[in-house]
Amino acid sequence: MQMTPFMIFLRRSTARRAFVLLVAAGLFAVFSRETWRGEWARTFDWAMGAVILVGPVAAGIAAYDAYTTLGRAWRQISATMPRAGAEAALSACAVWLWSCVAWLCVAIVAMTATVSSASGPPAVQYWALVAVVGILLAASAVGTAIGLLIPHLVAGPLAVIVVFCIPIACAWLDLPHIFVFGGATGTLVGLRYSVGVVAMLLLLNLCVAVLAIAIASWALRRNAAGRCTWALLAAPVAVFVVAVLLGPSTGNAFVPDVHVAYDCTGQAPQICMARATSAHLAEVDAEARPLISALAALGASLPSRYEQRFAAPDPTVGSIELSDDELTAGKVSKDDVALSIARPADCAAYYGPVPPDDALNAQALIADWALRKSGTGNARGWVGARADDAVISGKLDGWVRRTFDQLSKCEFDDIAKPSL
Amino acid sequence: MNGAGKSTLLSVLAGSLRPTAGSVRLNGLDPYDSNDRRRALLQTAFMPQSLDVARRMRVHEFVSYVGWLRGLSWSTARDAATDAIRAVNLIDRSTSTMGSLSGGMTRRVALAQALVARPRLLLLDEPTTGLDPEQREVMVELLRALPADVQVVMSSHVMEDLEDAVDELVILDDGEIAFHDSKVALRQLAPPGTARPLQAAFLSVVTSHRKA
Repeated sequence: MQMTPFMIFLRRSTARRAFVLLVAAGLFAVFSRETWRGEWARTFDWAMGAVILVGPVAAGIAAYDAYTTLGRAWRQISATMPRAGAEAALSACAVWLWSCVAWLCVAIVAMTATVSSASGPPAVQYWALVAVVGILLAASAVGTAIGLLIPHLVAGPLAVIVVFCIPIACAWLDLPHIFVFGGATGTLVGLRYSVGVVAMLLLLNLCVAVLAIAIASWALRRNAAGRCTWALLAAPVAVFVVAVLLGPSTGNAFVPDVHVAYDCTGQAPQICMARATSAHLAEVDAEARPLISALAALGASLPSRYEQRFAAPDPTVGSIELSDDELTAGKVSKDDVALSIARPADCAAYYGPVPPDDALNAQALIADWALRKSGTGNARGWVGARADDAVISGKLDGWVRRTFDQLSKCEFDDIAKPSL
Repeated sequence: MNGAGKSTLLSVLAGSLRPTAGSVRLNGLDPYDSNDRRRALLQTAFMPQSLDVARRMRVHEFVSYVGWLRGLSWSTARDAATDAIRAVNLIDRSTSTMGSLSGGMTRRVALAQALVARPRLLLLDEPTTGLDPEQREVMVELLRALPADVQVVMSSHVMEDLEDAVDELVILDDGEIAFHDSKVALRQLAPPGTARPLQAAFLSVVTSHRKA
């Protein structure tokens, strides 16, 4: 294959030699915490979060490349070149491409690590990775600019520090979140990326990249003749400022997704879990059926369906509440399944500013009652000794049936404490 | 003379160092004027004193790349690079990395990159400085073999190298022109019977300039 100028930079870039370092930085960022395993979208998002380390390393390599390849002698000869100016962009783009490939390797490793614990095929918004591509381009360009502004070996480490600290400074100064994306610490079921926010992040990082390349080109030819670069410097700054003033906030990249796909099992009631976390559906169903049978035998009015809730409250369905750890790689807790079965309606009051303590306490007691009645588990201390006797003797049955119905109708004000 | 301002002058001529006073004309074009710059640069090439750049690039890649930056199409640049590398007798090192070359070879690559786009004006900054006698002879031979239509401006403080390589001389002393005339005119300033007339004339000019 015939080499082009870009391919020459690509082949001779330090990033090619330091590829393992780029991948290692990404893997370190990804595997520093493993609660993302088991949910495709969260795994992908967490992998995107690896740019927080891959970006600074790419910047350091770009700075080193600029310093070693485009040194003093280069400035002397490049000043006499009509096409000069391309070299800073080519140098940055070579590092950018290698860092993108490195990030891709990290993402593949992360996705592979989640295969065993995730359900179904990966349902991921892959297009969001344009944010990563933009961040890595900006980081590489900033590194190149630093390498040309500070022609010294210290430029490499300095670029690493600068690019690592920029997102921290942005967060501190309440500026747009450039140079970081992803790394969600909770489930992403019921959420999707906002096209506007991702596009905004891409635009901001492209502005940073163009500005950095313009500065790098200026640094190469600062003593030479040539056209004024002020326009080139001012344009990305202007676009950046206008975008920040008029564009969406970059603080939250997600918007609610009302189209959550569910996998269901059983009848009367159905147990449904979001497809993204339904690897635990059979386990949840197995834990829930004895509890449901105990409540059904009592004559409690069960909902037609229990499901994980991610959108607006829906009092017609029961709500399955599992922790993030349970939803990803962990084992489902019997107690949490029991508490979920004891929540027969997804009432708006659960999401209000004041927690409905009476309803929550009643739920806990009903969960405990169901665990004991079904013989599937022991109470975790909600029921005292007198209540324990009441469960065994059946004295609590009437209260459980009555209260369960009140929870089904979201009539929290009518809930009374059991008389033991 | 060391510190006389030779490299600074060549950098100014090459368009890489904007003069603080005065103006530059290269074949009637001002490289610091945005209207003339492109045309001025297309016909000018600069060979720096050292070429410690792109150590991981191969010789042919580097010279091709420079040709492309000088405005050639990529395929033309590759062919021109082959010609330029052949002209400096380095064709057998085309695939060597820049970092693996000796000082003399690096200097020849510096000349090749200057020749790649067939400039009309070649600016050479001390092309023989630091070379061993054999490499210096090779470089002088290469300069002698340059096409006749290429104007060469070279700086040097080694008068022997200039003996057969130039027609006209400018002697700079502390940033000032101490002499500007033909080589024949300079030689006439040497004391009669001197073994190395150019060297003797040079010292005479500098001494006179300092006294003045």
